[in-house]
Amino acid sequence: MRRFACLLLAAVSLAAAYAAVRPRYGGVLRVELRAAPQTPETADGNLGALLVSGAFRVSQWDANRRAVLVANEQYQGGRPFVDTIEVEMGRSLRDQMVDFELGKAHVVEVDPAEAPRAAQRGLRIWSSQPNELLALVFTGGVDNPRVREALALSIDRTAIHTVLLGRQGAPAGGLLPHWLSGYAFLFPTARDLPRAQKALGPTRSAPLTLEYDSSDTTLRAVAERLALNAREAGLTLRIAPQGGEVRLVRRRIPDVNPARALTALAESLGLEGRLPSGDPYASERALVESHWIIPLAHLPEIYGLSPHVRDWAGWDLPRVWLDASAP
Amino acid sequence: MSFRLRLLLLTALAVAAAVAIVATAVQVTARRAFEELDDQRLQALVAQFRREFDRRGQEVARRVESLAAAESTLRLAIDVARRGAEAGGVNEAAALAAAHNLDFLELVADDGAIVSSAQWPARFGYKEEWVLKPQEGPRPAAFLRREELPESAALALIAVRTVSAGDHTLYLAGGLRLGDDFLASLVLPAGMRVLLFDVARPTGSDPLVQALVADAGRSRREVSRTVDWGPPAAGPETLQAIPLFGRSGELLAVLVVGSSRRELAALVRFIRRAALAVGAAGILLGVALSSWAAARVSRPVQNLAVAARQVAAGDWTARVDASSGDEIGELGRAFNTMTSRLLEQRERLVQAERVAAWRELARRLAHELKNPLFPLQITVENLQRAKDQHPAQFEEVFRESTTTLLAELANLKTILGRFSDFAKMPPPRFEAVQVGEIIRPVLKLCEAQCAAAGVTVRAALEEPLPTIEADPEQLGRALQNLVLNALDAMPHGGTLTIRARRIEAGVRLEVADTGAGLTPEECERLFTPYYTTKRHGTGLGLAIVQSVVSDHQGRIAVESTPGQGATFRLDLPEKHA
Repeated sequence: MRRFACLLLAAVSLAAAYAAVRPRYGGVLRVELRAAPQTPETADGNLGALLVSGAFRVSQWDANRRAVLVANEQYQGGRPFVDTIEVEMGRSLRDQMVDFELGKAHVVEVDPAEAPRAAQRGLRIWSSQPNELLALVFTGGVDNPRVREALALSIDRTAIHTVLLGRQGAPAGGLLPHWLSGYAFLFPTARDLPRAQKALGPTRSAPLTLEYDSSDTTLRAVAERLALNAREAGLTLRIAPQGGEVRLVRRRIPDVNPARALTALAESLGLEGRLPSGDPYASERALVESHWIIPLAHLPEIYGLSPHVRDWAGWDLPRVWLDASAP
Repeated sequence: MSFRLRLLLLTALAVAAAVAIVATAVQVTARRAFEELDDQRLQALVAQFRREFDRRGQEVARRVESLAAAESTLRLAIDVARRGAEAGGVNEAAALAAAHNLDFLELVADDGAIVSSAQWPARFGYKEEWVLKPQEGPRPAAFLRREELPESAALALIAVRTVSAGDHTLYLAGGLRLGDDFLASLVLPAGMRVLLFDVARPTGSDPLVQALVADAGRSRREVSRTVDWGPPAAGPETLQAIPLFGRSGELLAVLVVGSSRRELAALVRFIRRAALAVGAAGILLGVALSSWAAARVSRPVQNLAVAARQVAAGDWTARVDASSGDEIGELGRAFNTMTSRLLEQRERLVQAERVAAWRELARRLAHELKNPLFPLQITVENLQRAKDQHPAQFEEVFRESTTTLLAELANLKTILGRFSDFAKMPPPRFEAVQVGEIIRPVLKLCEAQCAAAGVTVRAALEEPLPTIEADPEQLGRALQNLVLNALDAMPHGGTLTIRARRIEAGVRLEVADTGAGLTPEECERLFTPYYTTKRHGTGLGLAIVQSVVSDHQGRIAVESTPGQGATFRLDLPEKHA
């Protein structure tokens, strides 16, 4: 009798455990993003890929503001678990975090610098592989290669990665992340201030203006640090929201094929004319050593996930389901 | 310079000097009083600054100590001790600074690396080793420090406190900006201002102030200077520069306290204007008083001078008012006495001259009449004698005697005619006449007489001779008298020279002979009526010449040396006044 009771208890527990992990259909997944595409056709990144996949259909599209996607019953991979995805677009990271804390959003983007702190607070954080390049790009106004080289050598990537990026991703000496190219370790990332000062020599460079996206607090912090590093090398770098000879940019790695990714990346940065054709490694090295672009770090996508969100593996949203019983 | 003008200038000078002395004394006294007051105000403001500086330093220290005592800071220190400098977030210091009302805050690990910086978040990881250095001497509440900022630098009051976490220490360097708001918290008296200069960036001010700041920095002592900003609106200002030092005694800033001396300048201007006004009024009053006084003193003197001029002009009846009892009155009375006596003496002299003239006339008449009377008496006696003794010859004697009588009677008549002519000199009838036209007829008239007397005539007439206003008949007669006198002076022949030449505003005629000449006494009495040096002269010729020349407003003079002849000189004006 006692054994029977134990078996019964075990069966019930097993059934409960299975019920807890068994995907359920239904529910509305609320997602918030900084991106704010005008139309579904102009959406790129994860949202664009989702729309292209056909798993969901656009039910409502308020340009730059809000989109409602409904599950496609005829999706070839099977009907998605959630019925609807509500996407709030154009939300700042701060607003996303507030909505997340208030339970108004299931999935929000998280600033890399905030990720460790958020994790310390017990938030559920998910990071992707590094798939975004943080880099400095010269817009053509700085023709002196010594100035570009001095700036590249003066940058303390480790400090930026450790403190400003919360150790998310990795310091980058090349354009493509190591998981994609396999040779990223060949590009040095260490700071060499004496070489930077030597490269600049007695030349008094005109002050440079560093342009950054003022809505991105991480970029502002990185820009200020770059200005400080550059000053030690003898360069004056002023930061401004627009109109600079140097731009601080974040670019998603657009392809999983190294050659195509390199070409697309160069095109998106306006450097296609400076990228030699041929072997990806040689092309990338030639571009990096010209210092028209100075890679800083490869960043992952970081999301804060509600406890209700289950089976999250990146933006494979058809597989995601909502657990209404989660705390 | 007249006495009145001299007295006036003296009075004006005295008044101006008195006013200048008083104004200078008032100005110097006021300036000293203002300078003392100014110095007191400056010192009070400097003391206020130091008090506020200390108070704010203690406030900074209190806030940093409060931060160091906070639980969150201890947790952060433990985290840093465990994980190193990267444990602090970029914005950690900014959040703590905001929570504790600090303008600046840097969290520094015990290796000197900045864990987080509120004022310059990007400086994490950089070294701030000065924080680790122990403070020499007693630990101050806070100290002055120049904080580097991304685009500039700022002066700040900084306090350093520590938080221990096991073997590790977290340094907290927090502070408040020492800027315009701090200076604005000072209560400034009117006309005073306070400026705080960062010696690393002493720009944006006047070069004079910058020079003062530089002097204070070099000497490391308080420097004071007065600067005149020019226009009355700005005015002069006393500036005191006080160097401010940092934790290690390095010069960081200079406090400049300015006290406007505009009020002093205004007072000095007022004193000057008042002195000028009082001086001007004093001078005017002095002029009036001195004019009055000078008039009282100088008017009798002027009257005296006028009377003296009248006396000099021949009016001996001139009198002055001598009613006052002072020295001027005494002088007037002496003057009146003098003129009275002069009049009396002149009367006596005239009477004496008149008596002498009558005597001379009587003598001359007696002499002139005696000569013809004596032949008349002889002739009459001859007639009586012939009738009594020689009746036969009476007829012949009678004829001869009547001829003689008639001749002598004619002589008497001539003598009486001359006296009559002198007495009946008619007034001259002036007309424009060429001098040559007067001289040449005289020479022609006397030509025969000169030749008979063996006298050579020489005429030296300058050409052209001017035309003068004259009575040609009278002047010709006067010239003729002079020529006849010259002939009389040369009974044995000689040379008669007549010269005529232009002089200033007239003409000079000279009649010179080479006769016996005249003694000085004779020259002196020569023009006296009835005086003559000739045996048969009436003494009226030269008197008539002098009378004619005088009527022509001219002058006559004689020069002579005994034995060398005489020269009569006539100066005649072209036109009469």
